[in-house]
Amino acid sequence: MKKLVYIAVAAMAVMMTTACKNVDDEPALNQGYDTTFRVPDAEPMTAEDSAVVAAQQAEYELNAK
Amino acid sequence: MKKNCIYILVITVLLTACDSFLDIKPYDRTIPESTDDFSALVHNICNEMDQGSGDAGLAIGEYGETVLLEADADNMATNLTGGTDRLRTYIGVDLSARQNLYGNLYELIRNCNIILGEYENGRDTREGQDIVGFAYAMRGVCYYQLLRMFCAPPLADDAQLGVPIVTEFDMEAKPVRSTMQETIDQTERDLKTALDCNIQNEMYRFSNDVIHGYLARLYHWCGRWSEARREAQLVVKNHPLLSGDDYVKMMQTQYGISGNKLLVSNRLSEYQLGISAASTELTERPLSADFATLFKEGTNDIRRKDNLFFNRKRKNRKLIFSGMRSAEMALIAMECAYHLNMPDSALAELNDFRHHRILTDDYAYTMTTLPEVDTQTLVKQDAMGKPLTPLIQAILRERRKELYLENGDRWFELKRNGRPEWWVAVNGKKFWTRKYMFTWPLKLDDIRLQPGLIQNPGYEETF
Repeated sequence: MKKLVYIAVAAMAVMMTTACKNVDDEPALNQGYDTTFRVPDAEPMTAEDSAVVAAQQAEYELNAK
Repeated sequence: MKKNCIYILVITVLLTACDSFLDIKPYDRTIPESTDDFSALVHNICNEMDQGSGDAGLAIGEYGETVLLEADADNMATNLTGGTDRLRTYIGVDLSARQNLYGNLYELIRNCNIILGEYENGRDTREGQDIVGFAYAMRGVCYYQLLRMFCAPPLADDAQLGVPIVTEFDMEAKPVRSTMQETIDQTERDLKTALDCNIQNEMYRFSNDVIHGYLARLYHWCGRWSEARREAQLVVKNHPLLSGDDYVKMMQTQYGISGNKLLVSNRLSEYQLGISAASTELTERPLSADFATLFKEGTNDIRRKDNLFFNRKRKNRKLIFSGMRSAEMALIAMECAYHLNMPDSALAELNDFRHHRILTDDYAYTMTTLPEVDTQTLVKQDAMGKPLTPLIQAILRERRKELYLENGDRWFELKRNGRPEWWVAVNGKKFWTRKYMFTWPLKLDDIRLQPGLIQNPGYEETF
């Protein structure tokens, strides 16, 4: 009987010191919800666009390097 | 019998533990009561400003944010590196993270509201007035930033919505968006009330001149030219423009208040590691030809002499700055003069400004020698939506040069002056900065939890 009391007291002590450790925890507000905005997809560059970039690079090579 | 008692005891313990599990959370905070408590709260906010971190760091501007916004704008040549550098390629990459700023600013407003609502004993003392004044100023700054970041430019056709106004500490309140005018009024009221408190303790950062500076920024952003000019001139009068060695020394001082700087984020040298890393990243992307060629006087411009701002390879040399200095106020005042139809004053002030920057005697423009309007540049209209004239273009260019790498100024200037669209090339694809991206998204959590809270246009699709 005494043994049972010790076991019960030990069990209660464990419960009291460890239970509800995260009593304040709640599921994250964004759990299961969207968090990100969709932005327009990138567009493929045309030959004209590539020429613009090439001209910028050429200008840099000429004047800044 | 004993056995039964033990069973009952065990079951009782199991069933009664944590009876408050479903209670409302205590938010893990206690409300301060004494002057010392509130002073500690203010010092904590000031500490964030000094560190350039946390909510307050974001509210007055912190160096990391300054670098990000500089990378988003058109002063840097993203096309030359094609995304191989470590800087952000364009604003679209990070639009979703912008919503966190919204939350940060409201957290800071909440702390200010705690001070303003709960502080009673000691409020009328000198220190009490400093604390209350700080809270008003900080809240005003938060609403000013919310206005710039999360609302359309006030002078634009689509400018109607402001942000939710929260002036009391109430964790359960769910306010919807105010009108643009109500947000402007709240910002102005907070800043003016802070002025009435006449903050004396330098530790509280918001001197009267700093608050006048924020009022100048607010009025300037809203197109209230007369009031902006008055406030800006007041600051410049107390903190005159610097030139020569004094200017260079100020621009080369990273930490603390120096020269005519009025407010500095990241003011402590112990945070130099982060700033140093950001500075290194900046050198990986050259400045755009469009920006670099604005310095037409070359090394006769003190900002180019000895590579103060950037070197021959157009790589950055300027120290990152977040805060407030009086050069910005001088630029605000001259732009206001232009919009108030005082072109002679605007030109005279522009020439005076250039006199402080150009080392030769040919710094002065006349109405006939002002450079012609450049039709190839991104900004094609002024804040009033009118086509650029040589004078306003010269003023805006001077601002672009002077405030490069400061507070993300160029990004907000693009927003204020027409919200132009442009693309950058990364890995063979074009990434567009669209008009709607200048007005950032409200936090999705708030949209979900607050019925009637309207999201900004362009942010309908989420995943």
